[in-house]
Amino acid sequence: MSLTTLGLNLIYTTPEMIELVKHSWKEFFRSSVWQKSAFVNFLMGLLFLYLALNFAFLGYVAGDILLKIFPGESPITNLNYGLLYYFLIDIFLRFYMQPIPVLSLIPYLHLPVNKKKMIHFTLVKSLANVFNTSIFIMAIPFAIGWIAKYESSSGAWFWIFALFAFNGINNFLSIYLKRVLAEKPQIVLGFGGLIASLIALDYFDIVKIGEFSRLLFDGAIYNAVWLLGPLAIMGLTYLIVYKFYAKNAYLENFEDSKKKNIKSTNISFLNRFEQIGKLIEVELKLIWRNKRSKSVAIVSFLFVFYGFILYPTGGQNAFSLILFGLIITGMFMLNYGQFLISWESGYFDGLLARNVQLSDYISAKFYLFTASVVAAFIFSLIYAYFGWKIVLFNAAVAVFNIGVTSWIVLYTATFNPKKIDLSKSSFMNYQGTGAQQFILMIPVMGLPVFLYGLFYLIVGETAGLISLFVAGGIGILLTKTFNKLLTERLREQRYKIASNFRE
Amino acid sequence: MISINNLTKLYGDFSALDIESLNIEKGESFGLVGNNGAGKTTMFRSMLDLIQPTSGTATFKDVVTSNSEAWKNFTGSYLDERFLIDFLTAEEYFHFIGKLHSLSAQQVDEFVGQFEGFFHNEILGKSKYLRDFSKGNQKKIGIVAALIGEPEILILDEPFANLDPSTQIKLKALLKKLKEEREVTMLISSHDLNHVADVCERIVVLEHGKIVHDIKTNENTLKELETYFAG
Repeated sequence: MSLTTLGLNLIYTTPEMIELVKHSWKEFFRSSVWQKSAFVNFLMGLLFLYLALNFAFLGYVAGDILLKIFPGESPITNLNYGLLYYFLIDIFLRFYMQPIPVLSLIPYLHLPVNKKKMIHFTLVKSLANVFNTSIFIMAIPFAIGWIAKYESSSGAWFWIFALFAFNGINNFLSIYLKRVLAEKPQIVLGFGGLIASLIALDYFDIVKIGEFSRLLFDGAIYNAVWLLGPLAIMGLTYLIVYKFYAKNAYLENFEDSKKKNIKSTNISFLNRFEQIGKLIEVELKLIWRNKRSKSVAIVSFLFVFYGFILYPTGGQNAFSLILFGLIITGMFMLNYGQFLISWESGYFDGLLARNVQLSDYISAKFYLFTASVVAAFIFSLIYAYFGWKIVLFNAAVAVFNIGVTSWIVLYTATFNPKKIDLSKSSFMNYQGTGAQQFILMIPVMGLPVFLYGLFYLIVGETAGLISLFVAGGIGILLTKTFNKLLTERLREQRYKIASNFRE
Repeated sequence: MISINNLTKLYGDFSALDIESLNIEKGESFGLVGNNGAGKTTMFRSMLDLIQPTSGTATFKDVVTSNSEAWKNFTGSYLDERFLIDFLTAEEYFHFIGKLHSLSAQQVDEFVGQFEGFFHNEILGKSKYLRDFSKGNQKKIGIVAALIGEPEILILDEPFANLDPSTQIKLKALLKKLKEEREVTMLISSHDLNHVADVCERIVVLEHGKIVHDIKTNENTLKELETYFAG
């Protein structure tokens, strides 16, 4: 592909492109995010400014901090050592949080606007987001205060360009990975495997990512030749994303449902459980046949592998082991569970008017949670490699998750759930997010840590662990009672929930 | 079979529904007409326990619908697409509803098979999710799903809307047959006076949530209704 077909230079020069820029501007300022009171917007603006100043200050003093930690060594070199690690974490965060800015193409597809230019425009526009700007708020003060001062100002420029290149790589890569997630999850898994093996190589001192990072960014400061590699890779990722979009920029591909042949499936194993089994079957289909829920499930599944990063690097004290255990065994429950009931907002009326017993409805969800925790726990046995203690802690947290956390999640779900339109894409889609999602995290994360801590302080480590097992065990034994309480709760809330969903 | 007692729904000061008393006999086919905002859907929803009435109750066969779930065993209903699980195929949806009435997949297939004509070969065996069907076909699926489990009470909101003419005719025949063969108590709302007058023995006109007419259908009913709505 030649540079002219890339057409980057033409993007902003034609009248329709100017219109597009105007539209994105309007889209941004008319988005529902701003449909709050002017005062709230003002406060948000102040907060944003404050954070930006903090970041800038942090960038400025980063050199001093590094000098304190590693006296006598060049802070620039030390910072460069960490940069690639930063970008590794960054790609992970982006994958989880960065929006894909592309759905806005739809209204233009039937108009005489050059489709290729549209795609270039959207992709370039994607560079303008918080993920891409925040790093420069920190990096520029550092470049001015340290690199330009102690090395050279051209070196500072090159260094910034190197960051820009890696930033771009992460930006386009995460967009690509997220777009193929629903269609070809194997690509994402493959990439995740690649990252995991890189980290493993680093952990076993076979390849030091940090040394490579230092070599690269130090090199960039002295000689622009070092920029060629990162810039080339950035161009490559751009091309991959561009080609992917060019190929898929048809209306049907943006619609949730491709008109591919769907087989009616019947998970016969679940038939044994009568109504409850059928409800679980429907919920599994819900998860797998809708983009938003499917990505939640896949992301939760990826979290199971997170242990390969957490255990080698995160230390093995009891409290982090509990938190890691929560993340690994409970991620699906927390992630999917925070929108429980909301997922079904599209047909909740039908569930209410139909012969669905509310207690069965709750049991189905409880079993689904239990199955996910058990499955994740079984997988987590592999972490025994990093120490048998991990298995013990994960088992305790898994039992606690099943017996206690699951009920907390189920109970929280009955608080004012919001409507979710499953046909909408998921990313940066905060539809359905209410206060309860944030409140939920406090007991869920805090309770097991608190319980363990309490018994650890009074009796000792073993007692702490036993307390988690016992609490979870009691919760499991009381399944019937909890189910009954929740059924009553759901019956009380049914009108409110149904009317929320009708809005 | 069905009795409504002092059923009201207020939204702030606005009275959406205000029915002092209404009794519907077993096997009666009951039509509900009224302009937009007259309270038809509100009435059905509060009867089906989907919204909380400000006061009053609806009783299906001695079961107060807001107190127990037992009425769901013998009540089939379809109000709108919120009753459909849009990521299932038609068969999967029918099987799900069948399971709720303890019917095996085979029994459901047999039952649904007799509606092949009503479906006009556009629904069964089509590898599509419900959300990909047209509005009219979605309605057909919802109506047939409401019939699964041999309901004694059938509640349909605007069943004729969005249907093509031949399906409208088939639906009328279907409803008449249900009444004759199984004595199903039917509540049907519609904007189409012709259809209601054709299918229902008794027609109630709602206005501002209140019953303003309660007529036994005869040959003059259609005229009466037309005069009412013209004025």
